[in-house]
Amino acid sequence: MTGFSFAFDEITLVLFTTLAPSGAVAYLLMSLPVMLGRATGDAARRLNQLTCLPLVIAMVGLVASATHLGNPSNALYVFTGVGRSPLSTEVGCAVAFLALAGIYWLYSFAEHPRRGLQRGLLAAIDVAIVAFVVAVAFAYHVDTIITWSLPLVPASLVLNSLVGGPLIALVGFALARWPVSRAALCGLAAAAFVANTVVYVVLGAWLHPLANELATVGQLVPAYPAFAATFVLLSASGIALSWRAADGAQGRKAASSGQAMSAPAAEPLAVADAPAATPAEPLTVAAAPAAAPTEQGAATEQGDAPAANGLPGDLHCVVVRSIGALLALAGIFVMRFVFYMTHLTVGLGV
Amino acid sequence: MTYGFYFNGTRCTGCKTCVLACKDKNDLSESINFRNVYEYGGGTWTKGNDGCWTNDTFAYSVSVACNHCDMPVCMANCPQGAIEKDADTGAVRSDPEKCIGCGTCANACPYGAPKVDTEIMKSVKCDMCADKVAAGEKPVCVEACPLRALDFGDIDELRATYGDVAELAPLPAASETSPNLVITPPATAKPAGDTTGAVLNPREIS
Repeated sequence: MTGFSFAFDEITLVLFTTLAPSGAVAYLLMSLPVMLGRATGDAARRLNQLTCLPLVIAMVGLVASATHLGNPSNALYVFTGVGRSPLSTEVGCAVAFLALAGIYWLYSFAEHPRRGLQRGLLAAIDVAIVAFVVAVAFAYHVDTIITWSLPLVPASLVLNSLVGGPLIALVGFALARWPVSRAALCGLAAAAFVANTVVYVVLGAWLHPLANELATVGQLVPAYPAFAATFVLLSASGIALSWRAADGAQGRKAASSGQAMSAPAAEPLAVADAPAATPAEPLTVAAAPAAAPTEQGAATEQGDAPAANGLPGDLHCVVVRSIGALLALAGIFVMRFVFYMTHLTVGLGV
Repeated sequence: MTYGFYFNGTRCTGCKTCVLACKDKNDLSESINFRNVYEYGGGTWTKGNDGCWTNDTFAYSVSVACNHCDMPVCMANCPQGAIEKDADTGAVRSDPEKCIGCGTCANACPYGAPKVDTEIMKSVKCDMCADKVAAGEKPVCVEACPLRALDFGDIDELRATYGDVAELAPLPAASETSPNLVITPPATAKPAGDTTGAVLNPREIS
């Protein structure tokens, strides 16, 4: 007996718990420049419109989870259980996030959007995102399921979202040509990755001796270390690739402008530095990459500036960062699959 | 009144007539049982210095269906509110009009009682033969048992008659869900959570 068939039956939920939390965190990160007033004008418009990227990722996850239902037509009753059933609370938070984000995205096409309204909406969306990720983390926290009610299980899902979210956000920022700090986002993903790895090691030790009358965790997940190692390999590669993508683009840009790659000025800027880097238009960061690179100096050393061929952002950077994000998500997917493989209740449930 | 089941482990021979009677009445598919009989056994044979063999082996059968718990974890976690506990009988029932077939109940129950029927994609489970009980009869598993190892009735009366034991291996501790179940343990019964034995017929369980 292994948990493979159980996890395979729940494959859409594996996909949901992989994509939706990471997409939500990516949305939150991409919303910060506008919400904090760092991005305005065209830059804000691009960021707003490109929030559809993490939104679509989260929605793909949610739609996948809906296909798990045998009779989704009855699903509206789910709202009667918000606060009582963890799964209802999860769905309620998901709907709140997606509805608010959808409205916001549509409003981003308005000719003269009200900044105050946008920032207020984004704040509400970000609160919904935090609630959503926490709700997903605790959705499977059922006392009788001894393998899912361990305290590190919710922590692992939250950390999953902090590994995948920043990497997806890096893709979105590159597409939006927003000069985000790769150090900050890759650093966040790397820190979450390290913590997530530690959590999985400890969790593996906790899970191993657990058993009920029908199976042991060792039988259900016969190669936990191999799964965990796959997560480490894929996620670390994803983070490294996302980091290198910024370096490579930066290098090409530096080379094209005759600057040395190792110049201190080549270090990317934090989001908070962006306005200061474009003193002519303090809040219109979009103007920075559009300006002549040689005039912008350090401020334009982002690697996210539009390419000379007019492609949206640095296409190479976008592609490499996308591959990086996909690798990390693949690693998360593996461990989410393992999570479902470990299903075991007290007594007789497998 | 709250109804419950009684299981006499000193009588059960593991014949599984209860399982089949239930499957027949409810027209269940091959892969779904509302009631299961678990054969639990273990122990070892040891050869002594005098060449004689001694053993501490044990084996017994436990017939179990939904126990219509007072704290039904299936009901608590159902996102749809599709599982309700009947105020008159204590029966824990799934409403097919509300059920979305998400399987949360099946995942949470420590008795493995609710199942997701993959043909109708809804949760299905023992309803303690509500139609028969309403007609003043007993559930079909109880009526079918040739050893009279099963009984059904007011849980207070069952407890007054047979005691209040509601757990033994391989069942979970009664504190998990407060099942409306009374058990007369077999002579070799092991306590809930026992690790010296194992379910010997896992392929018969569904």
